[in-house]
Amino acid sequence: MTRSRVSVLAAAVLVILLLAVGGVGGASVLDVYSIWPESFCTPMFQEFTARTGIQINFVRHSSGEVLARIIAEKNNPRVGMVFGGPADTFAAAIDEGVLEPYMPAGVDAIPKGYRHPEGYYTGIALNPIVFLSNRSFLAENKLQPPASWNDLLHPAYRQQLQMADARTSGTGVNRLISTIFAFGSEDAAYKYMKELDKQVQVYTKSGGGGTVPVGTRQAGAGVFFLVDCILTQQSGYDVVISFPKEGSAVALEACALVKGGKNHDLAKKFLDWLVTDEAQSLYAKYGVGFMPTHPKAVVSDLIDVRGANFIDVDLQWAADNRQRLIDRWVTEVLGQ
Amino acid sequence: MSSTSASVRRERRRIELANLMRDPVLLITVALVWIAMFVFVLWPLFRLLQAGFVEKGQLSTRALVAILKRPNNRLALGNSMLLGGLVAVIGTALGYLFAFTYTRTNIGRFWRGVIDVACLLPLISPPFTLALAILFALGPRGLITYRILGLNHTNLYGLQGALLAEVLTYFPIAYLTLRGILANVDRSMEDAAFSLGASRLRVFLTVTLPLTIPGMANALLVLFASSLADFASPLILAGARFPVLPTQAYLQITGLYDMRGGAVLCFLLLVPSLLVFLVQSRWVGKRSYITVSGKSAASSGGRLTAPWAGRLLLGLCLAIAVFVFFLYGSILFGSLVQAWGANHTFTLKNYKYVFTFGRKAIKDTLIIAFTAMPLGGLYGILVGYLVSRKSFPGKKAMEVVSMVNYSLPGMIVGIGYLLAFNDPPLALAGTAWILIAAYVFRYSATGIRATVATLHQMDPAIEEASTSLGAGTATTFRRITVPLIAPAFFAGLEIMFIRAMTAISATIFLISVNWTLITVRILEGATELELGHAAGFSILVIAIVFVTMGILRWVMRRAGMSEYSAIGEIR
Repeated sequence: MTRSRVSVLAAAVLVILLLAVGGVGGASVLDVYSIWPESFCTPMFQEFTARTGIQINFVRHSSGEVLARIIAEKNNPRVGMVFGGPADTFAAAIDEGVLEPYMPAGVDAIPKGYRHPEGYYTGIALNPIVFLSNRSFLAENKLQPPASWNDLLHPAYRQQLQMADARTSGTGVNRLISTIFAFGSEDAAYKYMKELDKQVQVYTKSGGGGTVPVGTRQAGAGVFFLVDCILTQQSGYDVVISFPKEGSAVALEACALVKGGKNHDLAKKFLDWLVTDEAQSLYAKYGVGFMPTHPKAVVSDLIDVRGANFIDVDLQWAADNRQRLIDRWVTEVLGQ
Repeated sequence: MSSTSASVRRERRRIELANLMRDPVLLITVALVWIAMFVFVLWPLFRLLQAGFVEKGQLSTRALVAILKRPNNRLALGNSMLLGGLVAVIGTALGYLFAFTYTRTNIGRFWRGVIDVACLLPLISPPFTLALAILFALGPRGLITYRILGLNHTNLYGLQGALLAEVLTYFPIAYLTLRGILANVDRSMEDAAFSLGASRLRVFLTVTLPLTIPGMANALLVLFASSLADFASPLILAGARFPVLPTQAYLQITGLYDMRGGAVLCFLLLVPSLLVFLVQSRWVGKRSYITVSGKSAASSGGRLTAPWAGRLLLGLCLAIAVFVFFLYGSILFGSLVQAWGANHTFTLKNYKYVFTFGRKAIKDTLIIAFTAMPLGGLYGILVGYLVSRKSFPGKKAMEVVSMVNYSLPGMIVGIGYLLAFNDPPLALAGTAWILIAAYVFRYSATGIRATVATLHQMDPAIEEASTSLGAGTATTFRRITVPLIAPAFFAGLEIMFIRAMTAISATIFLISVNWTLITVRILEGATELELGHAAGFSILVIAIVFVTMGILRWVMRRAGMSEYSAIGEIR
């Protein structure tokens, strides 16, 4: 008696669970891979949903992982769109034939350099490579915030730097590219990076992974994207942002449609909205340290780029050389 | 001679086949289990090998050569072996220390409880938890290394960091294995040695130690395999200068978009794992079925240790236990402050985040865990029952195949699943089913083993009586066997749930837009800036697992079942 009741109950629970597992998915839901961390992308998604009623379902991966996924899913795409992430990732995706071109309505407001000429991706934000240092570390060592790439070779930084692994992180790749432009040649840049390697405590998986260690004084300084540094400041860590005088790369944060993906009509509406100054002014409202690509959008007052020397990177060149540069970094700099 | 034995074998196979044909329930069950195993065990493995070694329809070792050409991949292979070996030796030694103290000294109940909890925590906590806590305690500016010891340039990243994290994570497995063995060593042997006038040391060295060698060998192998498969601790603590195979495979795929290379790296991992599996099942596994507890380990076993030695051993154990508690305490602390390591104002914002932004991951994880739990539990007793009670052709093969996914590092299973279930007709990727299948076919191994071990001790005559009274396979199984193996079933459920809540390496490639997991959110928090969130999620997982285990054990006690501690099977 009791046993049969238990088994009926168990069967009922199982059926409910199976139904829950099976019954997911709806019509006006847009599936998205986000490269932006949750704290940056959710405000944008929520604001868009509030305006249009279109729900956005997302999962967050690093740029490399997203690229690997959309390539692996080529025959059976799972998402309609990729949101955020450095444009060189997108350029690599074009070569793989996994993106679908689209020119958002009103895209003319975005300067030409910040979008793909055929609309394979559209830049929605700018994100420069900067230095981040811990204030008490600087004080202990009587140092000024680093203002040149060579400042990081000072003995005080030995085993005190954290930065991203170029294999997994777009931040890491943009750091490589920065040094190539800053030092004028690839060979000089790799020679520098080999020296820099001795100063590095650890290469982190994700681009922002080293910022908290800098905040907590586990590390003294590091090379990161501006947006991660501003988040670290906002979280209450006593850190300083500075810029290399030789220059550093500005990554273009972009969005793109996935070829053959679901619900492209919704994704297009989303893209149309993302290129407006209204949408891009939300970065400032939510304290996200991105610079808008739309010239009329509000720039957050958290961003102070005086003294910076930002280099706009030739994205086609970056895309064509990305893999080679990473490989060279692994063999020459990591010495592996 | 050989021809007669061959003909005997042939004759037996004929009888088995005839039996199978006469019993349609058995026939259908065996067929279904085989289909499931082909789809969810052999096919993914085949796809993985295909991805690594078949190019344009031809066998090719080009990818293997390319991978091996890179010094850092060879380094990773060596490092994985080194790390695995050290973790195995140190972890087993620590496990022995704890198990010996537990069973052979006169420490009180309270201290036994402390030892148990210290060993349980690492077993049920999600990945990254310990690694993060270690970073905050022993990192370059860690609480212990810098604030307390005043060391300025400690280097935690590398072998030392990964080793510490893995030893603390896995030594409890050795502890539970060896505790079972030590508790079951016949005391009269030790007593006999004492009455012959042997000293304590001599009794230990000539009686107790030799009797526990199979258990130690087993613990060494399990720990070696666990370390080989571990992906979480090295990702946080090993750094780029100490690459190991699972992290290299992960980076190869996610960073270099090189699925083939990743598959090949997994293959390098596959070889030692299979070796360990074979050694274990051929040699050690047969001799020590440690899981059947029941016998109280806490007997008056103090004779072997002098009181001072007992206190010394307890002191050593407590020192390690205190360190473990400190690490978990610091996770709790980190989940309750503004900015871990910088601003220690109390806040609940991390939990607010966990229960708002993390709600989907929590809901998904619970649905998946509670679905995988009964399915895996049933699969476990079904396979366990078939291989230990029924005779049919291919039984031995079924037993081996049932353990394959469990013996392989999770990364291999995950990548295999990704390759096998991406395209129609089996396009499970993106659904919850791929995650559920990964758990069911990987972690039901405990349920299978527990069932086999239980049935091993049960007289088949009971079932035969039922059959000869006219009941069929199904009825006998339901009315006779099921009640007897219920404890093994519950053990299977428990492990299934714990693993579904804490696994990462097998599932990191299988999550999707619709289905994500708490452990992946922890990875995210750990590698991004959100350490407070990672800590909050970790505490939540530990709490959920504790509560669920408590409920399962309460149900078992209410039903009058003996407790079947399978927790030592976790890896």
